[in-house]
Amino acid sequence: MAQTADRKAPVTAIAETTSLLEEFSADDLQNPDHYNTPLGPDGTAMRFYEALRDKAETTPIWWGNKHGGAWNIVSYDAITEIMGNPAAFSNKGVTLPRYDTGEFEMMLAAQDAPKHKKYRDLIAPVFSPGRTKDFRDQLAQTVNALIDEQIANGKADVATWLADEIPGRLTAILLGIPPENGAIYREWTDAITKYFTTDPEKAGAIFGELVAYASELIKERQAHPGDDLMSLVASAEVDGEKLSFEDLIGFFVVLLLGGIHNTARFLSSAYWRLAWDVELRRYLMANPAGLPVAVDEMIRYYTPATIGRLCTQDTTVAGVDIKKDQMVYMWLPAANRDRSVFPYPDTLILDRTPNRHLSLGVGIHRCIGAHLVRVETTVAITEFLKRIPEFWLDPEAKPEWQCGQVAGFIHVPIAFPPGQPR
Amino acid sequence: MKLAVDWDKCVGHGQCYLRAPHLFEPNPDDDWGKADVLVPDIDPADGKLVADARLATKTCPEFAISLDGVFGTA
Repeated sequence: MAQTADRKAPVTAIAETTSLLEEFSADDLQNPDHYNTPLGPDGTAMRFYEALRDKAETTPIWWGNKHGGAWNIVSYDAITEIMGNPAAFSNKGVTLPRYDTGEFEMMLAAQDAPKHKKYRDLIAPVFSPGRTKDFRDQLAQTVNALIDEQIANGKADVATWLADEIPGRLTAILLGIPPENGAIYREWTDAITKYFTTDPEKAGAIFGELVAYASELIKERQAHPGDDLMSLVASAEVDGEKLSFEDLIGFFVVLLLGGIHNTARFLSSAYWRLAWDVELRRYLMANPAGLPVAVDEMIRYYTPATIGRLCTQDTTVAGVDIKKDQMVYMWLPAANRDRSVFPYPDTLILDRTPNRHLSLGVGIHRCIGAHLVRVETTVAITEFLKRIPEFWLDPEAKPEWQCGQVAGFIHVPIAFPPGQPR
Repeated sequence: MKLAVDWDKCVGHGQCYLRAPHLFEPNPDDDWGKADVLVPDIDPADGKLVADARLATKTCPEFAISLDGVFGTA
């Protein structure tokens, strides 16, 4: 930490500035661990990502020793190069460490060409801009029903109350499973993403329950198809063949993972920011037409995910030779603060344009839920602000951040003037 | 001035139609959300439209949008 200027020192001493790089240990910067990022003074990992960004200005890529070793890719250009080169960088390495889903490969997210495009084309219609707009009313209903549950209390943990529940219920609606079972779906996604590294036995047991549930669901949908996503894949054919049982489970897993965790962590961060940034709240309420662009900026600023690739051919990126079978790990939140791409990167600029952020990826693996997440998050924020326009962080409790491949707040205690359920 | 979207590069981010709905819209038959250009001929005398089109070429994360053949202006 820099010393404060000595009062007797000449005025020129005040020109010394602290480098962000001095706020973190050399080991943390050299060997960043997405499962254990140091938190900054605001309780988020943002300051650490900003420090990684600063380091990347001299060293765009460097080797770190965490999780068996991987190249840390931090500059925006290096990441876009890698995501634009799937022939050399396979999605077999999308997670670090590899999620243990047994023989069930995560569909789309963990696949490469040519399988990837065939399967993506299969479910793409459900996620098209036109279809996702149709969810708006059902989503608004869902959000308001959830708000009704605790609006009279004057206090709540907005992460567990809304941020976790909304994506859980929407994914359930998409899959045609009961939306009220949100807690179970969260347990399943936690099993895969959290417990796998901390408690593999527990992870395995819970994952087993997921497989059992999904197997029953698939059988049922094959017998009685509905208009939901599971029915679509359960009866679909690719290259003239029905999808295998492993493929169907793989779809179930990726839709749960992709649909819930990322969005939930982002929404928690968004509600947390709104709780104390009164000016932001006023702007959003006064500019409903500008809300989607503002939310997109928040998606850049509070990037929830980091992501990996497995190198399959010796390649050079940013002057560094990456060898076959080495892992690369892409720090999207740091790249989203790249000064050469985003003017005033560490400031929320609510009408920022262009905003070519990497939060939803680029290239062929660009998040299939990108249009859905825009609808979902704008509805989640709009409806909340309509019902609870004034709220603040509960002074008697502390927000809690969770690290991991998907990172963000998991508890955001807030307080507000008690309201009425509808 | 010719405003165009290269569908070989477009993957349907939707940044263009989110920010410039007067210039782009999602193709209703494309499931990825790839973009159609609503105003393929930009009048060079219309300063605002030229500026919007130029900004659009910088907006696409895949640099799939071009104005007079230039993808992403300097």
